[in-house]
Amino acid sequence: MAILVDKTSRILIQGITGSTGRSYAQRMLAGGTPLVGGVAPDRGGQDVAGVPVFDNAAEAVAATGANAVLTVIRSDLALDAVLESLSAGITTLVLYTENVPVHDAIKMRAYARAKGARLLGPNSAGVISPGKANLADLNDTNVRPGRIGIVSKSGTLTYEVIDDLQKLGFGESSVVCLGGDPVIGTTYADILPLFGADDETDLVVLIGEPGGGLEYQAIATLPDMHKPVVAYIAAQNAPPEKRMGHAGAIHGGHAGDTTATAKLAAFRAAGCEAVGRVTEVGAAVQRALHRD
Amino acid sequence: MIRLLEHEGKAILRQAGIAVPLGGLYRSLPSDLSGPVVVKAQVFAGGRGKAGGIRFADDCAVAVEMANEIAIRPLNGQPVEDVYVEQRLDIAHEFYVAALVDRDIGVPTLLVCAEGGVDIEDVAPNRILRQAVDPLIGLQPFMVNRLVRALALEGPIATAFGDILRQLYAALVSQDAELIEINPLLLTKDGALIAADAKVLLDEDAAFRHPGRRAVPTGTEFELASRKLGVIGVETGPKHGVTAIMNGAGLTMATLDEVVALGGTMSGVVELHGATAHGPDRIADVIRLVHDVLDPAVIMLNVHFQFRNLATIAEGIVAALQRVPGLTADRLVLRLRGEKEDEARRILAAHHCDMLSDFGEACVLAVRRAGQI
Repeated sequence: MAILVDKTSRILIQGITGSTGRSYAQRMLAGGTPLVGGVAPDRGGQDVAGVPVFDNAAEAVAATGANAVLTVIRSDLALDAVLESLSAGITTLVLYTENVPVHDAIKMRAYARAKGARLLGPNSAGVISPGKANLADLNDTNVRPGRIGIVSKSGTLTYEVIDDLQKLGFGESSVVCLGGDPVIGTTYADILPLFGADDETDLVVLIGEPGGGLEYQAIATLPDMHKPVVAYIAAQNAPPEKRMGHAGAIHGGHAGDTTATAKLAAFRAAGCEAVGRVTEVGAAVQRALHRD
Repeated sequence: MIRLLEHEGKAILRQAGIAVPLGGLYRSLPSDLSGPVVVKAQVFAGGRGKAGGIRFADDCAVAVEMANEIAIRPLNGQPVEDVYVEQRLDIAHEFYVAALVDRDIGVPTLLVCAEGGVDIEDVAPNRILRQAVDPLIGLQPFMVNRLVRALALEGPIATAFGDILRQLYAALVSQDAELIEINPLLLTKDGALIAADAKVLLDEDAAFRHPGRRAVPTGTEFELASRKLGVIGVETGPKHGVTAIMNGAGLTMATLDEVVALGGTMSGVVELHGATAHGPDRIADVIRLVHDVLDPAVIMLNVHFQFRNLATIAEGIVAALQRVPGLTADRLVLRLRGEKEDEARRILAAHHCDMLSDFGEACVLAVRRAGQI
């Protein structure tokens, strides 16, 4: 089954005629990802890598039945692009663009939630269900199908976790990158229940980091997860978060201690295998699978 | 994120329609400022009052003398950027108000507290009232009323307080701010609400909507020089230890963790942040910077690409070996993983550099070469 994307997805690239869009299109088609078209204003009627380009998202959806989109659009145009895709009825969105203004992220997040859609990002490395569909900044050759789910903010941390798991013979059902920005469309707490309900996922690796309180929201969903969650919290040794006077501490939200060490301790207190080094993830997964 | 000084923040409040005390920078005081004033160091450091950065003067002449003293001495280790002098007010009460982006719930949020003028971190969380604002409907009267009522305000003050909340929210959105905090918001003895301080954080990513908005970079010599090369450098410890160059924030954090966990000292880390697109010369420049400024025992390159070409990194390393005096292959630990690994390995082997592809092994080797295990 996997989560968010699979063989039955019908995928668009928004910004397909740019260099990033073109290279994604070629890679997706080469890897068997069900890419059905692209969107680029005033480029309707062209094709890229053999898939049709449409002037806008509504036409693309009408013509192709698309339900997912990878958006690779300049940061100052990203808000309009995401709202356009959501208005056209797209239900799974990856916004790859970084440096999106936080108030734009707030608006797209709110609209996506109101429409019942899933927005990954801004600044998301995407989502991949290996062997089925790849809307991610991940090379198909580096990822194998398997029964571990991964949810992370960072792209490059997932590369290392995938490597560490592969050494022990594990592959992934789906890998979901939420995005590295302060405000993101989808959170750990949104993704865990999807993995919880996925019969192709045995265990979830959650990759956390300092700052904000999204990891604590994830811990609050654990009582409803009837499969193990292994937490890897990065940056245990990073210099303390730069606090902007006394406002900085509450600026992040109301989660309390947002350091990596506090988050690691919280996952352990919730009964999870939790580690602070990427080289320990594989072993922690083995321990979690062999408990009981 | 761009931090504003108090006087810059107050200009934003004034623009939003919120009253601030009459005042100006000490070298160009407004002519109509007279009587008792407050002299305030303009610094980015916290704890300004306790460190002697806020003083009182009976008139402007005395204030300027004080300002001259305050201006030359660092405060809590931070340089004093300027000194602001403003009218002193008769205080009846001090409130706390703020508008901010609450990243955990992903929406703008208003905060109010009846106990202003103190360190907000010292106030019990249940004394601070929060109102999240759904951006699809914006700030509505019921939200404002809830906050005003919770402070037990009535009559004209309640109306004026509500106006300030509306102005604060509008400014947060229109200025693309992450935080606008007024602490304290003064209620004067003659019944006016006036912002006595301002903390403002602006979003650098929204600069395209705000001509002239630009972050003033801060940091160590190494950090500032990194920024000029288009990479993100952070000094993480004493010099002469391990220094590591990575692609991606996540990989950077993980490498720092691993080296420290193995008992190594990390002097600094660099995140390439797409600098590979500028070609091998840029990579060589980054290695030169690390070498010259941090004088590390070991320079580690820990690069894991999905699609970019590792040969660019390998060529940059070779260029650095040829150009940087004192840099030798035995001080390099190279973990390059991804596309064109074989080509990168060949390029490096011709210059007597070994290349690893495993993250953990590379970190162990770096710490060992630095003589720390």
